[in-house]
Amino acid sequence: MTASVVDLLPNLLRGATVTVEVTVAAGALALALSLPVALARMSPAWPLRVIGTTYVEVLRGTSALVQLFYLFFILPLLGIRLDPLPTAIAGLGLNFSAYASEIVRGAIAGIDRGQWEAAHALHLSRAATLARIVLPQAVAVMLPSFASLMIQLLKSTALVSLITLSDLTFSGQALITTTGRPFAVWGLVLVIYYVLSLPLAWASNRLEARATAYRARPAGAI
Amino acid sequence: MSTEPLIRFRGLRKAFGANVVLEDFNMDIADGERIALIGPSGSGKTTVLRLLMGLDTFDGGEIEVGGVPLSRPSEQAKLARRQIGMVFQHFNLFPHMTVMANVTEAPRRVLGLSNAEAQARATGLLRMVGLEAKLNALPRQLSGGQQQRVAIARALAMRPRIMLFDEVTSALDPELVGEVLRVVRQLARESGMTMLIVTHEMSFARDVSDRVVFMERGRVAEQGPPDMIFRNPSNERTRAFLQAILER
Ligand SMILES: Nc1ncnc2c1ncn2[C@@H]1O[C@H](COP(=O)(O)OP(=O)(O)OP(=O)(O)O)[C@@H](O)[C@H]1O
Ligand SMILES: [Mg+2]
Repeated sequence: MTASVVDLLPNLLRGATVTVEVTVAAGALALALSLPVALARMSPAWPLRVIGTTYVEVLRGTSALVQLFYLFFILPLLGIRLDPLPTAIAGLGLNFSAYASEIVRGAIAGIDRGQWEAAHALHLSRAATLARIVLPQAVAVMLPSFASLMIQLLKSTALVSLITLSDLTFSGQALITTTGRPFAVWGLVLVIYYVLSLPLAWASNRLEARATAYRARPAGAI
Repeated sequence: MSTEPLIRFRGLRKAFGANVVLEDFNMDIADGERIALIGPSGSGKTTVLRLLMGLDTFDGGEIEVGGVPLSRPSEQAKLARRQIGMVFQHFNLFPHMTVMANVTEAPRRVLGLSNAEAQARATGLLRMVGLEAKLNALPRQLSGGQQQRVAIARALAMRPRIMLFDEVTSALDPELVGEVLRVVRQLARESGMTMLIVTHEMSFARDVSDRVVFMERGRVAEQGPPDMIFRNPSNERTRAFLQAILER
């Protein structure tokens, strides 16, 4: 085996593309689900609260890997067969939507009660208060946490190699079998994961700085 | 009183857990009347305003506005409440919106005013409170006194028939109190609105109101024209309270 680092790269980069695809798609799914789930958990209607809470507790309380296995190996037994890529996106997206919804819920709960009360005294509806007053302020608080959640998601995508999806980790394993150079391969894989996380880390820091500057505003207690 | 009161509290009761805050609270307020609500801390003044505004629900009794009972949610009750505006101790401006947006948001969303109509209304009101130069400022760029004047303009933009003021100067530095009180005084003199003003500023209470209501332990302990309450209170508690405040 005489494969050089340059020979290893194309395979790994193909895997990295899949990793990025899964991260972006699962991240988008998680973010899309996070608001409705958070609102269900905070709803005045108890059935919605129960559904929302159960959703979050089950997804957070069981392993993401087992959830992926479930989708990939059990659903076919029920006649639902998904390809590895949609399975990976759905599995990680659902799993991370539980964490994302907790970020949303925390940010909404963190908004000063006086904001709701002022809106109520102006006769704004609950929906208008949420959309115009509370969420715009809460989003500033959520964004840094979302960025770090996306870094976690990126790292968790390695799990999808176990349902035969040729992501970065899977490509690494395959390369080792063919080249017998674990040192070089795993070293490269580490570097690529790290490089992929850099934009997210940068965004997280930027957003964190902005969010804290925003919170440093005076007044508005109670 | 010959005419029907605009606001009527009847046997109002409110408890937070075991803490009974209002017990058999009764008060009638005539259309256009300006009431100063005074009393020791914890006597339930804020609670009265919050229940009227609908920020909390009450446990018993009734509040009527224009003859409409507010105890059960109904379309009628909602419309009756829509005549009420409130200014808070801590301003509660929307920090992510400019002064202009703070004032135009509710008229546009709730009253359906066009952007131009809402802005014209807001500009007039902000001029009245002396802030026409701050239309595009964010709340955090304003002093407390300026923020509170924006909050007053914001409430007025809904053209309320009834305005509630809850200690609107007690979060302000002393040198900023005057500019806010001046605005409230002017409203009391010129607007014809019904006003319910909770305050610890006794000279302000005296010259802004037609009637002073002294609350204690969730009840009206004494009420009357300002001159009578301040010069010659009949109730021993009122006397002690005023004494304590004046000696501060
Ligand atoms: N959300 C709440 N939960 C529990 N207790 C409350 C709540 N709001 C008010 N209280 C209690 O109700 C009582 C009356 O409070 P309220 O705020 O109406 O008094 P106040 O007359 O406005 O006093 P202050 O002059 O200090 O503002 C107090 O004992 C207070 O602790
Ligand atoms: Mg109070």
